[in-house]
Amino acid sequence: MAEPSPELVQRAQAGDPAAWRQLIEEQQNYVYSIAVSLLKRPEDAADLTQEVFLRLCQVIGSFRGETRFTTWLYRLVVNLGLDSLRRRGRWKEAALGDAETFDVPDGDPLVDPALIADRRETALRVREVLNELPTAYRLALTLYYFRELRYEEIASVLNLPLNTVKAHLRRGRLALARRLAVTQAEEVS
Amino acid sequence: MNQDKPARPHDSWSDAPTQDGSESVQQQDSEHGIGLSRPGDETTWTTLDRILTTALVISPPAELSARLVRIPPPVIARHRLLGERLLELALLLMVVLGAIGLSTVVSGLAMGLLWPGVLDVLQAAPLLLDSPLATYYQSLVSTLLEALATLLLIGLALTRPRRGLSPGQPRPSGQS
Repeated sequence: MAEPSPELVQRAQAGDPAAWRQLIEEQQNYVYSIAVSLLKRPEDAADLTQEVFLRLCQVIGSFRGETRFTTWLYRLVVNLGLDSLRRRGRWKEAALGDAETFDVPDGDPLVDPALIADRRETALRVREVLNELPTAYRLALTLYYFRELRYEEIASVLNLPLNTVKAHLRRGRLALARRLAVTQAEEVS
Repeated sequence: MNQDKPARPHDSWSDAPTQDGSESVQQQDSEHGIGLSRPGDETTWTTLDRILTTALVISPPAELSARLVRIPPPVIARHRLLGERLLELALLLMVVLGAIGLSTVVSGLAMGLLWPGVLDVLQAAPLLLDSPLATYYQSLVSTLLEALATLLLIGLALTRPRRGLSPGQPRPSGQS
């Protein structure tokens, strides 16, 4: 876990350059991953990541330690990302609570993904397939897997009801498995 | 980085009914015959979990990392700290002045009530205590205390953290 220590956050709040730099270095992978998950395009994700840290610089003083720092930071990422989507007119993607109409293709989802290719190639393929999922599913899966956030924390970050988050995770995982299966079937044929 | 962490047990994926129609997901799962807890599927889902854990963490480009570390540390926080220290100093000064003012009154009373004999001997003392200078000093101290209290209140009002929405949190519906 890369949850920064309270001391590190306090030092960063006080303007300690070393602490600030450490905080950026520790969190940039996660912030960028969420940004990619939201915006898909790497260039947009890079802009959002930079915007997040610039904004963090302005508002870190208001962090009072009432939640985990990462939960607070990821909420900032998601909110700025959703604002960015809305500015670009991508309203549908920004509606995180409305992903039920997503069409899950048929296919056996129980294909062993390890058989698809080697690990690295598989990771790339999984990312491609992830990009086809609705933003809500993709984002929920991202938060769930790479930081092991609790359901309640994911709900807090996404500003969604707990049960909606659970449904997004379940459906997203199922849709991902099915799409991977379809991809593999297409390659075999 | 936690890419090497073991995959989560995924029995929690189907651990709660939902309010928003996810019952249909359970039903959908049954229709396709792919219940997540079906025996024998464990390895497959575990593998998928592991792959997802690896695939979802993406390192930012080196150029972006270089840009990020050039972002200067928060300056506002430093100003805030300075403001808080100034307030502390003002408080301390107020306490010191108050203590001096109070000690003047107390020592005057003590000398006047407890040691009248001493005062008789030190004939100059009553003159000093009743002198216009002492009265002037006491009123000066109380004026300073009032002024500092006013400044303190203004300072507290200005530096009090805002309550309400978190940074970047979307406003309630109806506002953009």
